[in-house]
Order: sequence, then structure tokens, then C-alpha cells
Amino acid sequence: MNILLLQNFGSNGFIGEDLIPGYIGKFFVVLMFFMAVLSTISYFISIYTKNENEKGAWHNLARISFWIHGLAILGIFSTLFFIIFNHKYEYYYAWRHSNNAMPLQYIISCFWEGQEGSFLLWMLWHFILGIILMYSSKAWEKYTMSSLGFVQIILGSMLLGIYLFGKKIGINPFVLLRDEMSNAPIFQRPEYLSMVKDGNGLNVLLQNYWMTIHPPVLFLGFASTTFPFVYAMASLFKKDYTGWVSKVLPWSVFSLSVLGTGIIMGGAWAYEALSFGGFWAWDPVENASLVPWIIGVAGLHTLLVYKNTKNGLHLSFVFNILCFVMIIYSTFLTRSGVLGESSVHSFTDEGLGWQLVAMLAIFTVPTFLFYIYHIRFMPKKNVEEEVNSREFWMFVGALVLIVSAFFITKTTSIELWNKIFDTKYSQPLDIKFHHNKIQLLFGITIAIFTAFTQYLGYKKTNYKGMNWLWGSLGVAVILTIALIFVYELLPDTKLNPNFASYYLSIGNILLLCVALFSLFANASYLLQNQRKYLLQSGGSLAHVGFAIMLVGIVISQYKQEVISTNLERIDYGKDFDAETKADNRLMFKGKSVLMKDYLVTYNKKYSEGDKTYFSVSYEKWDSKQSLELNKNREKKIDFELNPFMQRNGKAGDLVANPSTKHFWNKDVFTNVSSFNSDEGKESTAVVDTLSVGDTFYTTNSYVVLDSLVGNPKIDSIVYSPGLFGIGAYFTISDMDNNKYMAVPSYLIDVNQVNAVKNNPFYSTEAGMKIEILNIMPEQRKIAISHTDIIKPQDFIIMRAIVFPQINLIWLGAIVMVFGGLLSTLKRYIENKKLNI
Amino acid sequence: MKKLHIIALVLVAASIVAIVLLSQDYTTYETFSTAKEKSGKDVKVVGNLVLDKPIEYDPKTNANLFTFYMKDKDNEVHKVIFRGAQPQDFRRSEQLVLTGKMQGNEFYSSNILMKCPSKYVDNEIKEVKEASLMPSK
Repeated sequence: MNILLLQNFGSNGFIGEDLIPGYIGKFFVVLMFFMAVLSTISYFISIYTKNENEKGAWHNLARISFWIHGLAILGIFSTLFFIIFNHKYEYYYAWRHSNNAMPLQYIISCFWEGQEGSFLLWMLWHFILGIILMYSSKAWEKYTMSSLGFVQIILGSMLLGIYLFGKKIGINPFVLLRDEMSNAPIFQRPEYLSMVKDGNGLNVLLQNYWMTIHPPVLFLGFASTTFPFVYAMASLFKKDYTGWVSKVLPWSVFSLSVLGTGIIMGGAWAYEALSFGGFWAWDPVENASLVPWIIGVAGLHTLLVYKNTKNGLHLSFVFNILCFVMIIYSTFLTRSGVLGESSVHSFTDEGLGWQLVAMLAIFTVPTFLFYIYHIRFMPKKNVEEEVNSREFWMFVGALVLIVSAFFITKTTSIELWNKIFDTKYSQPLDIKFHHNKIQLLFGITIAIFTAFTQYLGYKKTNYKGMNWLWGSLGVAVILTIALIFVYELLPDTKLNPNFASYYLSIGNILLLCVALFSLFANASYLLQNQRKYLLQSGGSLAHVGFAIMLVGIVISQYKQEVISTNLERIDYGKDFDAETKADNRLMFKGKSVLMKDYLVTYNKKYSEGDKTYFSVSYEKWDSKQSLELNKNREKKIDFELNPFMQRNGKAGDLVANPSTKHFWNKDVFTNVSSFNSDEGKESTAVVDTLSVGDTFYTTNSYVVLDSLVGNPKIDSIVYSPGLFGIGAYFTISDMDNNKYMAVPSYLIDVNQVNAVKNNPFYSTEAGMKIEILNIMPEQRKIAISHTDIIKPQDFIIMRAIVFPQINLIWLGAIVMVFGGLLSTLKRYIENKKLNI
Repeated sequence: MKKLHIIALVLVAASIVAIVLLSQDYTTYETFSTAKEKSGKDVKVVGNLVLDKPIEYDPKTNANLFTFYMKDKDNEVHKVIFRGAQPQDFRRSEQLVLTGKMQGNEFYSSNILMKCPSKYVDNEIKEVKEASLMPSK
């Protein structure tokens, strides 16, 4: 075989390179890969060997090699960390993703900025969970672990960085900068490294605390969906088509809890750090994690049906395999560059497109064929479910979830359809409305199902507590009617509502109503049936959390209000209809603007490091009150927000970062979309001779020379014999009656050749530059030159949005995840008791 | 599983109807000349910013009006009117993807996607939406 390792051995005349960590790292990569192969093969042989002694030996070898495989992953991690932490920019990964100024938490973040780091993290979680699998799956170990080992081989190949038959396989995280960019002339020079002083650093959008915690959780979620898949595969290998259901339940619930947490954390990050204003934008990268989650939820519910009724085995297989396949499909979509221009976050093609296609094919085609082949051996059951049974509605719900996932995927994949069918379609113009209008229907359906299905029993109807169900519906309807008035959920007839606004209004009201129904129905079911056993309540609690989230989504998203609307109604010309609203508001410094219930003032801009902050203060204001603002009115500040802008890298573009005030019942989101970065312009200098008490005039102000002081106090100047100075104290008064003090100074150092040093006064704020040209001690006069500085107009263009009840989304998510984790524990203990 | 099959069939039928209805939401990639034929319909046009023609943005008179010229893939140049703030670093953009409508000889854009060259980093993509689209309702 023609394997060429992508590395330059030996010293080749380059100065200052530290190649040792690279060799160690590459050794770990190769070790990691081959140990995964060894472990998988050994597990496989231990299944099919007849000889008991040999079986044991292969089994031991398989376990040991899996451990070594995992330790090698940790080795890769540590080596890469060492390289990044010590700023060894001879390595491409360190140069590309880190820089000298990076604090520790961002050093961790830069592990998942690159594709190599992401795959590494994914594999690390597989290893950690794999160890749990190894010691918990008992009779299933050989089957599950060989399947997991196979997944690790495929993922591990993404890190190899070798060429096989002219094709590149994987990207090695230890590639040298000079190899990766070998065309650049700088790398012809032996001392090139002395010129690479700093790395590119991390994309500023990722420099956020959520980005330290969100990716590991999300990847734990990704990694954990592998385990239901691995169990499904194992059951086919083992030809034990039913035994896997109980084993897989804790994994399935755990995986959905963690993946759900990861997704919602991503939403929290988008809301905190991105300027679009919201927590969900139906971006392909977001959809990529949501779709597997939805399919996983369907898979979990069919598993539960099978456990209780022995019905729904096939759907359980299909959905649990599909969930994992969709994770791989998502990886393909976001990493292969196929999405091109449709996503702001989508990653560019790193030349591994074909390998990602191959990975997708390997995990899709053989697995489904394998399943289809085994269908004939599976137990058959031909009993039809009753319409009033719990399982019937769980099946319907699962089907609805799959259709929902299908609709999301269909639009997300549109660039892929273009490639296949050579069409020229593109993402919908209003992507949110496109998804919302269809997902609204699924949301309503699913919420209704989660409300009543638990009140039905498996197999036969159990009408116990049905009064609670009807009671919940009644309360939900009454509360919804009240909320319609509180939040004005009906379309505003003054604005000529069209079909879309009626659709959204009615849809959201219905969704709100059924979400409340589900909330009360699940809560009362929980109180009646499960209050004595906290452990039993996981499912109901997760449904309660889901319902709370839906309520939060409806109110905060449907009734979000842009308060920075341009009230001046500037005419855009005849081509724009009256409905067109402007959401951006021009704010001059110091000038208060009424925005709904707030009087908003842009106070100042200031810099901190590479960030430019804008201080914007909010004062509560009764909008009915007259806007005739009394000039002498004392300004009150209820809260202050500091959105900022930051340059992405040294030459990158400016990225806006919003700032949000959180109240218990609403958020006020503020983002600066643009600011005036002009410098002040100077007019021609005017020369004048002044005594103390003299005044001169400029276009905007009058200036008085108050006094002349010998040896004025100036920072960093220590007066000594031979060094003396004079300071001129001026008061500048401008037309708005603002006063500024100006102290230009004039120093003479007899010991130096250039004896005179003058420190002019310069301030764009005061709009003035004053310089002492000469001093005339006899006449007690000074000669000065003064220049007007035309102040650049200090303004920002900002957008403010109020999100009512957005905290319900986070609260609901926490409750849902807590319920899921309780369920995980319950299913784990259940299995433990039965010793399976 | 008879009843369940019926429900599944109903879901599939409803999905097909929904797919047809939703397909009208998709936009298509066009050039200025083909966009003219589809005037009144939202399309996407890919091109480059023309730097020697006026790039105008005066936030003091209107913070939400920005005009410039773009050359499409067929080298056709048209004036573009965007109802929103000028994106930061707009002049540095290497490629633009505009979404909007052709009306007469002007292109009314509601969304600008710009690719900015960065010294070292791969092309970065930045999306800017017209003011009224930003919080989608």
C-alpha cells in the first residue's frame, strides 16, 4: 500500500522550530487509529471464536486496546494543548486558532473552532461513554463495543492526514504551518518562525463564556446519540432483536437530555453574542442539531411503547438508526462546504468533502440493509392498537415528529438538491416565517398529544383522573383568553392585517392554549400519580418543561417588539409601501429619544482593549407624557447597557455584540449596528499674543487665559536645574455653555540640543487645539496658535427589541432536562434491579 | 396496524400539499437581466461591488437607506437600493449576494450577504438584512 505520512522528518535548516511535540502528537494519532482497529477486530473475533480460552484472550485484548485507544486520544489532546498553550506557531492549528493574548478559557475554546478539534472532542466523549458501555452492557459488550469501535475507526480516519491513492484522508492536527501554506515565499527562509510572532486568534464571536461550555455539551449530546445506534446494531449482530430495548432506554433518555441542553445553550449564546436579535434563526447549523434531537425523541417514545406493549419494534430500529445517521448527515452538511452561501456559520470545504460523503454512505446504506435483512427473523405481532390506547397516540406523535424533522431538513438541504438536480433554488427570503408557519402546526399537534396521552393507559384505556384533564383544558382556555388581552395577540386591524398575520396570530394563540393545556395536564398527572416517587416523574416533568418552553417561545417571539422604530417615518421614495418600517434609529450623543416606555440616551463611547463600547442608558418613561423635555430636568437612569463592537482579528471586519437587560418578565435587547468612526477635522491655525485675562474667540467658543504658572505639574516631568516650564491655564466656553479647561505647556531644557518642548492641548471634545509658540517673560505674554477642531458628529445607529417572558424558555429547558436526567436514572436503576 | 396506516397516509398526503405550498417560498439565483424578466418576484443576484461609482449612505437624513452599484456575473452594472444601514467594512467586500427585486433599472435589495477577504483567514461570510426584516415576525 502506498501510504505517505504527511510529515517532514528531520531538521531541514529551519531555525527555532520545535518538532518534538509534533512527532509525539502524530504518534498518538496513529496509535489512536490502530488501537481502534485492533479493538474492533478483537471484539469481533471474540464473538465468533469457539474456543473458550481464545475467546477470553481476544476479549482482554479488545478491552486493553480500547483503553489504549482512549489514552491516545487524551495524548493528542494534551499535546495539542501544550502546543497552543506555549504558542508554538510552527504548527498550523495553533497559528490558525490561537494567539498570544488568549486567556485560558479561550485556549480551551479554540479546540473546537477547527474541524480537527471538533472530531477529537467527539471521539473523546465516545471513549468516556464507551468505558461506561464496556462495563455496563454485560452480555452485550462484544456486540456493542465492536460497533462503537467501528464508529471510532471512521471518525479517527478524519484525523489521520495521510494520502492514500492520491486522496487526502483526514486533517492531522499536528500539520506544520510551512507545510500547510508551502506556497508562501516566507517559508523559503530558514528564520521564518521569527517572523511569525502571533497567531490569528479565535473568531471574536466565539469569545464568549457560552462558547467555552456549549460545544463540549453539544458534542457530548452528539456522541451519546451513537449509543442507541450501537445497541440497535448490536441486537442485529446478536440476533437478539428485543433485549436491547431495556438496555438502550437510559442511553436514549440521557442522550436527548444532553443534546437538548447543548442546543438550548447554543440558543443562549446566539441570543447573548449575535446581533440578529433572538435565540433561534433556523440556521443550517442550528437545524443540524435539532433534527437528530426530534428524531431521537420519536425513537425514545417508540422504544417506550415496545417495552410496555411489545409493539413498535421496527419503528424503534428505524428511528434510532436514523437519529445517528442524521448526526452524520449534519456533520456532512456543515463541514463539507456544500451549503456555500446559505449559512453565516457554515464551514468552508477543507478538502474532505468526498470523505464525508463516504462516511455518510458507510453509516447509512449497510446499516439499513443489515436491518432489512434481519426483518424476517424478528418477532411478528399483528394486534392492532386501540384508538383510545396510549401507544396509539404515541405512534401518531412519533410520526408527526418525523414529518416535522423532514420539513426542516428539506429546506436546510436545498443547496444539496441544487447540486444533485442542477437547479438554482435558494433559501426562502423569510426563512423564519417559512419554518415557523409549518412547524407551528407540528407544535400544536405535539402539545395536544403530550397533554392527554399520559391519561390513557397502555393497551386498554385507563380513565383515571380524566376530570383533571378536562379541568386542565378549561384553565388553559381561560388563561389563554386573558393572555390574548394582556399581550394583544390578535392582529391589529388598524394595520390592514393580511392572511399571514391572521395565520400567525391564530396559530400562536392555539399553540399558547395547547401548551398551557399540556403544562397543566402533565403537572396534575404528576401530582396525582407520581408525587410519592420522584424518580417516576421524569417523563411528566420533561413534558411540563417542554410546555413551559412553548409558552415562552410563543410570547417572547410572537410578541417581541422593536422599540427603536424610526418614528420620523423618513420617506424612502414611492417604491416603498407604507408598511415598511425602519427598525434602526439614529442616536446622537447626549440626545434622548423616546422608545415606547423608555427614554433612551446614547451617552458615550469608550474603548477597552480591542472593543469599542457604547454606553446607552434607559429611563422608564410614560409614553403618554409630553415629549417636551425640560432641559433642566434631572436625568434618571433606570439601567444602562453597553453593547460593543470588536474587530475580528487584526484585519477582519467589525463584529457587533449586543447587550441585554434581563428582567424577570422581559428582556430589553440592544444592538449597535453602526457608528461614526470619522476623525475630527482641523481648520487653519490662528496665531495670537495673549496676557493673563485676555480672551479670544473662535467659531464655536470663547477662550480666556486665566493664569500662567511656572513649572506646572505634568505627568512624567520631573523638574531639575536646567529644566523649567510654563503652563497656560485656559477656560474654553462653548455655545452650549459647556466649559473645558485647557493647559498647554512649554518646557525648556538647557541641557539638550532641542531645548524647547511644547505640549499642545488637543481635544475633539472641546473642539480646540492650543499650542504655545513662544514665551515673552518681560512683557508677561505668550504667543499661541489655536485651531478649531470640527467635532465629528458622535452618533450610533442602534436597534432595541423587547422580548416579553423570554425567561420561560430557559426555565422550561431546565425543567425538561431535569426530567430527562431523572428518567435516565430511573431506567438505569430498573435495569440494575433486573440485572440486565 | 390499520388505523395507524391510514393516519400515516393522511400525513404523507398532507405533507405533499404542504411541500407544494411551501415551494413558493424559495428564491432562485438570477442575473440582473433574468431578474428583470421576473420583476416583482424576490430573487438572488451574485456580483461584485463597483468601487468607482458612488456608494452613498447618509445616516443623518435616513439611517435606513443605502445605495451602491453592483456588477453581476454577466458584467451588467445596476444601481442597488438597500433599506438598511451600511454594513461596516462594506467597501472591503469581495463578493455580494443580494436578495431582492428588480424594478426598472434599479435593484431593490432586502438582504446583503457579503464575503470579506481576510488577510489570513478563509473568506468570511457576513449577512446583513434590511431594517424591517431583522426581527422577523
